[in-house]
Amino acid sequence: MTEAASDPSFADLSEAALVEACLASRPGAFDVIVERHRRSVYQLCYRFVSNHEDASDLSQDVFLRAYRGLRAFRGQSSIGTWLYRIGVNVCLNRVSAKTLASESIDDRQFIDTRSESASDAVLKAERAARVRVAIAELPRKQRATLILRMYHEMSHQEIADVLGSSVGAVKANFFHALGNLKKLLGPEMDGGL
Amino acid sequence: MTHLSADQIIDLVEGVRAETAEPHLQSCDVCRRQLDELRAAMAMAADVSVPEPSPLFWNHFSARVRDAVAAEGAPRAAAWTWWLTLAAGTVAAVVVAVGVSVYRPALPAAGRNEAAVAATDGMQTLDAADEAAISMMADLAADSDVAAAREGGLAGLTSHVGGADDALGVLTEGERVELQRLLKEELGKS
Repeated sequence: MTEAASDPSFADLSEAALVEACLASRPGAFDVIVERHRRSVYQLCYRFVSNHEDASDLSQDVFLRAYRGLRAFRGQSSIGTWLYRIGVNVCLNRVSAKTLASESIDDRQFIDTRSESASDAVLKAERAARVRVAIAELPRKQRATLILRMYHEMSHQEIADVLGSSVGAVKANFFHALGNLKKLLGPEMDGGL
Repeated sequence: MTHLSADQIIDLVEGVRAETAEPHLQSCDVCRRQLDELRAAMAMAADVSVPEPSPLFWNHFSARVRDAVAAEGAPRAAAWTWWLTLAAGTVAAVVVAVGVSVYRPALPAAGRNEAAVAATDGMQTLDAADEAAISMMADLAADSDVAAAREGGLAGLTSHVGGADDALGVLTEGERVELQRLLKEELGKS
């Protein structure tokens, strides 16, 4: 989930030291945090909104909120988990299934057609679009749980921390999320299996 | 027959538990079918990736965040420290307002000029309870950061502060001088 920092003076700093540097207003320290986590935060946001522009705007919002709340960061979780918590809140507050503006296949960047035929790639992209729409129709906590568990490989406990719930509730949400996804994709799944 | 719980099925779907650990599955078509459906849903969801943005996007994104952060200024103090300041300011403002309003009825209820004359005499005979009340008031007022609290802009708080100002505004010159002397005296002790 992390990327190499470009500023050598901060590259090897621990998370706590980076936060300290930010609070001391050392130029470039927050850039390193952004650089390390921007991809995972963007991917999280994209999972919620399914289009590049909104995912980009939401990701920026996540980092801005993180910067504002940096003094409140106590280091009880990793910065990544903390950013996920902010990200989930930002996305759930700004996004609803009704406002979801999924990109058309033509808008989607870099569909890799090197290892499969063009028609297979298009079919796969169409199916992925339908799955994204189905995920967007899930209730909020189920959607967040499924996204964090399936695409960000977070443990049940980490998800519980992010969502402010219990491990049992996370498992129940995941169970219902998969069940509802099956219902929403019913014919698609039956045909695809 | 007791079916598998959501917790048990999720453990099976995620491979945390082996199917052999759940003999119930061998004899229950309902649980077997549910397990297969959830596995299929999970496989379908797992096949959806996030398109990779243009390589130029990341530098552009970092620059946008940098600009937004630069416009923001230094990281702010934690919200709880701000609320603590507001709470302290509010308490102090209320105590000052209450203290002033409690203090005024001790003055003779005659005309304004008579009250001014009588006030000086009256304050010289304050009993121990009055002294303690004013001392507490002075202590709290000394510790408060009313200006900072006022910056919070809460309507309730500003009305409290304004209430204290109003109460002080109706004191006569003699009453103000005496109140100032008492506050200074108490503050000088600490």
